[in-house]
Amino acid sequence: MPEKIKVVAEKCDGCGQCLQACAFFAVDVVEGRAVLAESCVECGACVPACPTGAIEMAGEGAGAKAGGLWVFVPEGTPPAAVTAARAVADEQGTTVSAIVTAEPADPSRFFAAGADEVLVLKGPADPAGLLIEAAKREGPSAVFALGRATALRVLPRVAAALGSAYVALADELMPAYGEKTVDANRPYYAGRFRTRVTPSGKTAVFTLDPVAFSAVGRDTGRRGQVRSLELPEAVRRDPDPVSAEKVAREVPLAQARVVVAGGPGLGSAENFAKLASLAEKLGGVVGASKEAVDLGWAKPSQLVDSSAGHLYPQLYLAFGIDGSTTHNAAIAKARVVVAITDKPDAGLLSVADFVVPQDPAAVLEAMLAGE
Amino acid sequence: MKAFVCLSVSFSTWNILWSMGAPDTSEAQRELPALDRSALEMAKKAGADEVVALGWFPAADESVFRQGLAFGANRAVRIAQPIDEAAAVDPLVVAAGLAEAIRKLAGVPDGATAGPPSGEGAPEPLKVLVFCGQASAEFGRGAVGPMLAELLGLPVVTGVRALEAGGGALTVKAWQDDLLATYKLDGPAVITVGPDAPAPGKPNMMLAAKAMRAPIESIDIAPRPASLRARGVTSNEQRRRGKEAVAGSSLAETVQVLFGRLRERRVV
Repeated sequence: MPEKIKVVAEKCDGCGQCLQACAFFAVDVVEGRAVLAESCVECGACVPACPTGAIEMAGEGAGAKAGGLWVFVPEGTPPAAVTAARAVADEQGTTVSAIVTAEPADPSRFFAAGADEVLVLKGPADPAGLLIEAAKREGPSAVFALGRATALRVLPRVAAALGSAYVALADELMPAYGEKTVDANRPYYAGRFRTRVTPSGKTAVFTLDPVAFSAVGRDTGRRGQVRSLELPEAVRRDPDPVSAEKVAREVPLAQARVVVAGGPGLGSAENFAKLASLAEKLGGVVGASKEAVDLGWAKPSQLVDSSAGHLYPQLYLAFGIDGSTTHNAAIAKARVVVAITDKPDAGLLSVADFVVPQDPAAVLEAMLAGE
Repeated sequence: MKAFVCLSVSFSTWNILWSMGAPDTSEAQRELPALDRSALEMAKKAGADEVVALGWFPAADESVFRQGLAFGANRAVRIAQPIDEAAAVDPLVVAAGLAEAIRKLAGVPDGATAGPPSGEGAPEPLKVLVFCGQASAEFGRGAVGPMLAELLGLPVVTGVRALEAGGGALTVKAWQDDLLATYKLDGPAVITVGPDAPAPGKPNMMLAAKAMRAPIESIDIAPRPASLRARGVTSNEQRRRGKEAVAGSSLAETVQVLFGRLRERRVV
């Protein structure tokens, strides 16, 4: 019989939620009460599923399985990686812990996203130091985080400290059913190819592509527990900023819903500058071909090229862009591509949904004047 | 203080072929990435006594080191051990190799290890500045900088967009998620350059001419085994699209027809 998990008979109302949560068919309802079978592996998945709190897990780690999945959620980051980890945990029959470094004001959002517990790390160190010490102590099978600035700094450090495999900005996770390994797909050669990687070792560390993993679970019926872990021995890794200010920042191309891009076919810097008005009108941002950047019409940060990363817009409007192999690779995941060019042999035509075979500068003027 | 700038290679022409189910880079031209050039400029701006360009790529890509020298590096050092593509996928392999090379070049005795910064019982941190382009290992996607920091026992500031030296300290500005943060660094550190750092200038012609004849040093390390295994590569070929021509009797009508189509697709 399981030793760590027990059912408090007085609290159990026989609702059967635990049956659905158990991946090992190790729970039954007998005479209106949940009963754990011999086959229970004490994964703890039933604990947060119980709406009356009738299933309890003894000892440290109650509510989450030792060797479960951890998701580091820096302040201000949506718990989308928790939802991604939940899908992995369901395949593997394990648990998800949302890892935070400050008492959460509203832990229910982590449970709704898929967490079984919220683990609050406390100590004199910064998030990197706390996470490293906690992972050394509790040994999660994997650590995930959404690939934003803080996580992209902290998680490689964690991987290096643990000597673990690190997968940067995975855009697809492929857990093996019943096993602890997770394969991941990630871009390769600046996105022109994709490679599937298998991490080995004790604790695999993943950052997740924020665009590919943007969905946040909203299962408001999920419950879990909040646990604190004191880590007085944790050592600070990185400096604190002396100041930080909120500055208006251009939406990065990779996160833009609409991208209005221009190339040499627009004829002049003045025409290129007009793209900003159309982008504003459509709620988008301005991108540029390599030639437009080389001509000084646009900043390097506006470059649309697979060497600078992939774009995922709903709409990509290209004015006077020929469409090199790397440009076309960068926009391969755009939902709709419109090519506005008077060059009948432009490479962009082969990847366009719509083609406007007219002078790009004139079409731009007409768009600004019209709708 | 000595500064190390970790170089990487980018493929400027992207004539990488898809051959026998794998990418073939043999025909691709190599180039020093813009972010690494910015890292070299920041290293010089930081007032380093000596700037060492360090990289781990094949001898055939020596031209990248020469570009590094043309951008102001005083020395160029290549890790001698071959790194195969399987290992290059794993940023920890790259970071561990670079860290070992930096320790040796900084004069740390063999066997001495660096611990976490300021930790009790940790060895004295290396007196070095380390700069990386954000994609310091192209396949690592910016992971090498923070990993180097951990392996060398140094603090790291990532995604730096501006650096100023003065008063015995460096003032750096970097994005911290949605905030623009300012850091003061008065000692050794790892600094990774962000994508919105100022575009690098042109190489110095005198230095470029000198770089053509400069020696490229080499250093030996013991590579760590990879912990990430690549299980296959697929080509990201573009999907076939409609190529529907949009036309009207006038430009204004063409634009109207186009927006009608875009509304049908629910993208505007």
